[in-house]
Amino acid sequence: MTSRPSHIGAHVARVEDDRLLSGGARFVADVSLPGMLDAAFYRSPLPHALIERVDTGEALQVPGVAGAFTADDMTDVSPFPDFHRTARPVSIFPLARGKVRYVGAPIAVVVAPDRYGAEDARDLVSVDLEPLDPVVSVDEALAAEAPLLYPEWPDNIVIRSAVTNPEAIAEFEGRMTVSGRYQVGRHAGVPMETRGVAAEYRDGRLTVWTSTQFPHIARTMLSYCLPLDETDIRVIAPDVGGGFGVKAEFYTEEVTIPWLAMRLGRPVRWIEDRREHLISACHARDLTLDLEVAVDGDGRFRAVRGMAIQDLGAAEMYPYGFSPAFAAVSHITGPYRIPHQSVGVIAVATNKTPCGAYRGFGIPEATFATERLMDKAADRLGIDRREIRRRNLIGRDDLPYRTSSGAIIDSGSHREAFEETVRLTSESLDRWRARLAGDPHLRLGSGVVSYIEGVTPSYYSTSGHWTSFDSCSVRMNPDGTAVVSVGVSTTGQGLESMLTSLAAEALGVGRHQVRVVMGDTDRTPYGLGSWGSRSTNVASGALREAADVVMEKATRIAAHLMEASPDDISVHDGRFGVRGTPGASVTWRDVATVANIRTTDLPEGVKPGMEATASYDPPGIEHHPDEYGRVNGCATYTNASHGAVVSVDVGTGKVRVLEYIVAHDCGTVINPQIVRGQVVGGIAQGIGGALLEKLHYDEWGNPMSTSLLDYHLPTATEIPNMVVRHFQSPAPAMPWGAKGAGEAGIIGPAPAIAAAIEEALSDLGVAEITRTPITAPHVLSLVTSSVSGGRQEDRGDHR
Amino acid sequence: MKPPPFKYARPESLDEVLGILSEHGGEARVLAGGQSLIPLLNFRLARPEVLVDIALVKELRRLAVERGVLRIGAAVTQNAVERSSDVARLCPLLKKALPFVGHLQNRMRGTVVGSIAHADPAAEVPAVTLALEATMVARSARGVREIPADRFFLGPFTTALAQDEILVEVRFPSSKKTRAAVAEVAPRSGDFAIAGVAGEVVTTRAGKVRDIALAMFGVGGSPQRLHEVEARLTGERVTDDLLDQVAALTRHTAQADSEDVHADAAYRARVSGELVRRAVREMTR
Amino acid sequence: MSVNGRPIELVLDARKLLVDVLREDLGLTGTHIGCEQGSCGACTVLVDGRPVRSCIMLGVQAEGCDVTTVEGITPEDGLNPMQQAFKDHHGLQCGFCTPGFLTTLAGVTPDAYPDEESVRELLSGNLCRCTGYEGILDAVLAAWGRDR
Repeated sequence: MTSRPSHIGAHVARVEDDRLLSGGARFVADVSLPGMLDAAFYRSPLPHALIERVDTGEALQVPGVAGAFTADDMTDVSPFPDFHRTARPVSIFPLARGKVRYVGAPIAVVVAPDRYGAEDARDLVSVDLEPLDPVVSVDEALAAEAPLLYPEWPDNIVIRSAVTNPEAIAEFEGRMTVSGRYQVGRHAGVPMETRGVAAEYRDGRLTVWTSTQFPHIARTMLSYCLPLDETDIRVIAPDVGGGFGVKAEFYTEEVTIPWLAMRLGRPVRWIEDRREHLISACHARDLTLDLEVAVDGDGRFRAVRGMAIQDLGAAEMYPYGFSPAFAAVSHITGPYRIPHQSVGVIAVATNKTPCGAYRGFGIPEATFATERLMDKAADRLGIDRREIRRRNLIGRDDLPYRTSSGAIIDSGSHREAFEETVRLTSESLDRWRARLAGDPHLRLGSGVVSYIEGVTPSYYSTSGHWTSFDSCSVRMNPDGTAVVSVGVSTTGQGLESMLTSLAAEALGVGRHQVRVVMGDTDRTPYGLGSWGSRSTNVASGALREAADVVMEKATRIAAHLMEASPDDISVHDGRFGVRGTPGASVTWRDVATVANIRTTDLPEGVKPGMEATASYDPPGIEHHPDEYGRVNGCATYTNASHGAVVSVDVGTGKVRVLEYIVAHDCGTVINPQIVRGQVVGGIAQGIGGALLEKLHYDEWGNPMSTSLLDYHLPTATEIPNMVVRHFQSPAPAMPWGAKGAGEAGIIGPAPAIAAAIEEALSDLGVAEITRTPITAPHVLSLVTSSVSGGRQEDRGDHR
Repeated sequence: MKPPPFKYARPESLDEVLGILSEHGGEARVLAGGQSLIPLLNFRLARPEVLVDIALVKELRRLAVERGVLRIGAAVTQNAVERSSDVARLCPLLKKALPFVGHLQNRMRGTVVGSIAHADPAAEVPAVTLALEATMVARSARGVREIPADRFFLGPFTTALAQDEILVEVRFPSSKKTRAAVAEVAPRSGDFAIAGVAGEVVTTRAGKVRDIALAMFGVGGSPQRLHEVEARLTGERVTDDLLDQVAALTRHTAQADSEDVHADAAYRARVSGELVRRAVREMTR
Repeated sequence: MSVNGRPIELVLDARKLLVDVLREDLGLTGTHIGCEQGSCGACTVLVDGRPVRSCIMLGVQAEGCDVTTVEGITPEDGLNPMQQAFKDHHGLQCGFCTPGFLTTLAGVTPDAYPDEESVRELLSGNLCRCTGYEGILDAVLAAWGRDR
């Protein structure tokens, strides 16, 4: 049985667009239930303090207030289990118990008929806090006599993985070494829809609507924390307004709100406001890579060693916030032949908002460091910055290639994508030089970088619990239409459309005959959700296996109806035919009607019904690293090269990205428009992180970026036009040869833009750029210090 | 982020407005476009007892020219001012500055007078009033006061208005200057400026500066007029050398004491010189 | 006031934001809340034809006004040309910010934005975290009959 590829690679409209365009979508904030109450949290105003007393008496006097609660009231709630074997246990509890470790930590919750009243009551909660000395940086956290966030620990280290690989160390003898300390600032995903939870407890069952990337994991976690069996919990992720990793954490509010619904016997809703979002949804990055490379005289990298140092914030985040540091280590070589590595991890707790996931998940940090070191080594050796990369990039002849991080690269266009990007970037730079020649303030430059991105990763290192599989059910209705339900869920990437295409492809029906169901644990088989650029791989794998079962049966029925051999049956566009017999034909409706209704027409030995559920665990994923931290933690690896063309205003330090070039390879492209959207959207976030975005803290641990006026997301005027080229190197082991594309774009901009700025200012001999965001004051300080004092090392800071 | 409770009044006459302000003193706030005040309410950083909405007060909705003086009432939106041909003719600097104020959606409701009364140190319009030597007209139940722009701004978000006063109008005198420029550095378009300069100039037929006015914003706690820089330029032909001197003079004389997470004072001082250089060059080219 | 062409009479708490009136009292949930301080644009609606931020406008301030939301600019039988252009050019992903863009665009005249730079400036009052604005810009230029 075969069918012609007709939906893959085609430009097709998204099925989710009409409701999103017309105001007909349903986000959590749009869930409205009779008698529903709104909750508001009292959050810690201090970064580090003991809770002496919480008095909700006055809050309870506000008319209409249905309740005000603290941790002491949650006697039937269990803390999040601590799954990780080598990390110190944090024992997250929905409301703070005894102590707060960051500004924004929830201490109490009040419930009222609407959010206005809830905030009125919240303002009347009286909390006595005894301030403790705050720990605001890695250096402060590691200092002797540092205040302890968790007094039961001997220090503030959440996890440390010391790696000493003697083979790597030996490479440093007698070779030139280049080193640097590279810091990616504290960023966050900041989806346009904040978090939100609504819950109803009715007839012994709990229904929870939450803006999450993993409804099934949320259900399981709820069953761990609340006195309910998993079968009595239904989690629904309705339309989700962006996730980017922020919603691939399980948050305490996702327990508190359902608990309130059970306790009060009324539906309860909490919609996070933007201020809360910026201090209590997970932060990310804030990772320093302190690295040294051993380099041959011709520019070939031989080994890398050093540490990934992560400022985790208060560490009260699950899945674990330190996981990106490990992902950084496993991507530290990028697409380069660096035969040996020895890079450890240390993650420390500080009195800031806990870190968690954000698109890219450690890979942007690793790529920033490695690419900066490439540039630095090239400069040191007097080799062109493009040329040194040519000497190190893996080529097709090297494949499959196992990196010194353990990653197995089985396909890709590493050199081709790079050369295409170099060519396009150079043309772009020439174009812009001609266009802006008259402006005396501007200097132009370009930078080209490359990376690999492991997609469809093991979840074990991140969660300490879940691994990597996902599921799909395919059910044919009697009229020949299909219901495809999956364990992954969408946050706007277009998964509904992608799966519609694949299901139509696999089942030989039209796209309009497929309905994809996701984001509802009652209606979908178990799965781990959407993160790690995994959905395309795992959902398509499970879909194909389920569809194969359905198709085998359908083929037998069709053959029976046409009195032909199953081997000769083909299907296309809802119709089965017999190869070599042009006139013979039955429709999917005929076949599905027989399977579901007129079962007397079934061939002998074929059981009624027409549905199948399959689970798919991508092959090749390893869940446990070896003693040197090496692990093939991902199902497959995409590659890309990025080129940034920038202007630097030497009078103000203002950097403008003039054009951005990307050659991207995620294997088979199922929907080119969606892939391009993912890549371009990721680049835009990457540009934000490179130039604009930072979650600032003052020296006492107070958050200074608590609104979108202070946390600067890029607007349409900061994002340039982009040139996108798709290469397609199919993944041999993946269904349809596809590789996930969700995170790739965000990885390249920081190092590409840093290199471009340096190139623009090269005649000034400015210091190396070693941290993001690269703000206008920072760039101007590079310019002025170069004029006044010549080349200087850039001074980092940990804050 | 929802406003705390307050009493709301929407009188139709100015006298009623003044009466409420007089009765409640500091506990009443005037609501015009609300583009600054309502965010403050949402953050619960402002908790007025009474909000006095002036949208229905006819005499505050006037945008008029009388004897060459442009008069903008307290309820006139920035967008209306931006589109006014009178403003383009009489006050080109104001017209040039307004597109820098927030975004289109903000300017549809935000008012010019509101921006002045709010006195954000990084806002453009207050600096424009300084450069153009505008007059603020304040009213209270006690009477009328006219306050020149250079005595109006006292510090960040602090003005010479008394608690029972409302800024009913700003008056821009007719200017003999012919060219105007606004130069600013902001993290993104629509953001409050890290530093900026607004100015206008008239040159002689021989190309020398006859008269020039320059005002900075974002750099210090209040907008500041750059008198020394103006004096240095007056009577001179603008050359690159002179611009270098002027930039240095600005750096040294501008009161740069604003610091926030986006830029320190040193950056503001440094860039202020550069912005003055650019604004002056643009105007005298 | 009138909302999407229908007269509405409500007794409102003075502090209730227009966006909450639309969403909670009138069930028009297409208008979204993204920041509640007037900086993201997700809540943009038309008031007397002009795009404004409904999260920093009180419901009572809309008394006597004509308010139009994304539901009001959507034809009964499908999409308007700008909506269709967004769909054709992948001008949306999660769609949370999209109604704000659409209402802003419904409240301006294309002639005021003659080139790409001015269109970008216009769009800068609405934040989108998914698309990188490429598809949005493509959609606007296409709907306004311009070549990219």
